[in-house]
Amino acid sequence: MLDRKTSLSANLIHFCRYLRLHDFIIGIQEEQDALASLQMLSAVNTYEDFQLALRAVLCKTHKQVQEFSGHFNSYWKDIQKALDSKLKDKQEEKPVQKEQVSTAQYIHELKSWLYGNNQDEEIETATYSNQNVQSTTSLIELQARDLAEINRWIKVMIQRIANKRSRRYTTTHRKDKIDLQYSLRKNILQYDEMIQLMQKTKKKNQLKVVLICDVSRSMELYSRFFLQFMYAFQTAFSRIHSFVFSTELYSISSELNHNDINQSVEQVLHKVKHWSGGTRISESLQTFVEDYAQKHVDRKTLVFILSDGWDHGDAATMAESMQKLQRKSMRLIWLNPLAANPNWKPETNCLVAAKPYIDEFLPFNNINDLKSMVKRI
Amino acid sequence: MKSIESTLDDLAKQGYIADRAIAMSVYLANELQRPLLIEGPPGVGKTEIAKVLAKIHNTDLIRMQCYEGLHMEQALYEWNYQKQLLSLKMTEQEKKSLSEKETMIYSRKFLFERPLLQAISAEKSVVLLIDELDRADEEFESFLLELLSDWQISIPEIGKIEATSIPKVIITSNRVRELSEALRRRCFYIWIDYPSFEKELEIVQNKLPEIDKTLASQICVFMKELRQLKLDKKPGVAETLDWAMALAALHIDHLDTKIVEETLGFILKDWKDIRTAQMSLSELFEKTGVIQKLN
Repeated sequence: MLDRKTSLSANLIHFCRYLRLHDFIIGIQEEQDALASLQMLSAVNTYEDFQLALRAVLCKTHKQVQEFSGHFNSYWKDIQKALDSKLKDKQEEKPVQKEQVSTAQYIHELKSWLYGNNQDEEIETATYSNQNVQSTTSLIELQARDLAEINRWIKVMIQRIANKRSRRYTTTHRKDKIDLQYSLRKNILQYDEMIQLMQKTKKKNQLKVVLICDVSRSMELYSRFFLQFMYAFQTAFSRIHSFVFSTELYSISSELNHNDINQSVEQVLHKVKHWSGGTRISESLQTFVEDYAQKHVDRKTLVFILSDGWDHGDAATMAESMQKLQRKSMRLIWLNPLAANPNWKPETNCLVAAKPYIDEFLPFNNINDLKSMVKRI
Repeated sequence: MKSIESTLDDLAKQGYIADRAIAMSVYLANELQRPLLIEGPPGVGKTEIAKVLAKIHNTDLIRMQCYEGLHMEQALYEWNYQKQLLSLKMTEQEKKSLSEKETMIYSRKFLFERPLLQAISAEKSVVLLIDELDRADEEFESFLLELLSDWQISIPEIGKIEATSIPKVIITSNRVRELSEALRRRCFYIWIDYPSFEKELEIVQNKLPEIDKTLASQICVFMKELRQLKLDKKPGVAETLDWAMALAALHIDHLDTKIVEETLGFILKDWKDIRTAQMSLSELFEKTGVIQKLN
């Protein structure tokens, strides 16, 4: 990106492009504004003013304001350096190649858990999940016919979510309730008497959904199903955002937006660097609350956390993030695949800390669990 | 406002202590005629900027408070039905054709001008404050986009009304919900945070010139430390000023534990926060150097 131009305006455009790479939303309008704002400055103004002026024009959110001076310094200082030492443009090829190598690895990992390796894993988990077999198949042993069933239940759930009614009213043509206020307003314009009665009905509440899924080592057996669950959910419901975490948090909504599930899964694996790694629930949730909650979570959002809660991270951070999340969201639902086991108890630090802030804590180990969850929502 | 320095001066003259970043945004928004979007925690002076701006330009401030369920009619215009009916009744004897009557009753005279229409049809450019836009519905926000970019409103019965003067628009948000990117892109953005100790002291002394100097600095140190605590609703500058005003009215020249305990309700408005603060009062006193009376 380092490309030194001789005129200020060319450099400025380049700076805008540099910012665009760092998630700033900058169009031609903003570039024009930036140039226009510099015209307002006079020779009296300092380097700081130059920075302030660009910041005033180019930043559109608090996060961007915070990050701006870092980007500004790294860009303009590098230009200075380039000026001094005639630094050549850097090629950014190398890291890309590296990534490609590791991608192959990830795809391999994906294949191993998506298609094979099932039997070893079952033995591995027998310790904490397979004991409640009562004519129900655990999610890890799903067959193709079960998937159809799962999709059906997800659809039922989406219908429920999409058709929630709000307290507020909206005008309608079918007969429900008479909207006196609107009837008066309508009739007073056209007639002397009340001729046309207007109807109102309860507004549909446009709920949103956020899915946050644990894909750490301890959840490995379920992550395949969860990914499928997220994919099915996302293809059928548009107001949804999906995240996965193990040691870090990743937003995977755009990756899941593929027609082909295999492609989606591949892309997700390519993006998520620590698939089946360790777990850092509290840190990941904290990242979510700080970076994404503001945008994706409001009082009309159902937040699902899919995790077994196996983490010995900082309980205080966890409690704080959970509290914030619960307060912001409509409902906070924790789906735990291990909770189906009658002997299982929420004993890990994180889960104990999180428990008071969870609106619904539900087991999620077989299709029956899915059904009962759908009924509770 | 001719430069940043003069903007800073103007703001200071009206009693608004701003830093250079704020002055820069205010100056550029004014020069380039763009709306100004201000975000930040409650009580740090977001709305105040609009008031001060109106004073600087010696013009009117038109304020529109947003709330959930705000309708276009409440923001733009409404027909004055009663007046229309009355005038029809009064002109019954006159032999006017139907279309004449129609043009008569659908004219600007019979329009209730609501804030947005008022703002764009003012003779002299006014300051339009759209307060707490995040509380309004998303539909309203998208409707606002049209107005903010084209400065015109279309009324079916009359036609387009174009702005006679472009208002200086200030939009504030408390981040109850995230505003859309489309709206952000049309505005210049300022984030106002809690002020530093020096700035807060300056504000207190500016607003309350008669206040005791030690008391003022004690108050500011105390507030600064208080904001470090884990509180649900951190007190803003507005609370600092309220508290300082109350203490000054009580003719107190320094803080002591008893007074702080008694007047904690001025700065904290949530019982949980009050409890948290009470738990760590002695620590706060130690940091701020408040004299503890030995009982």
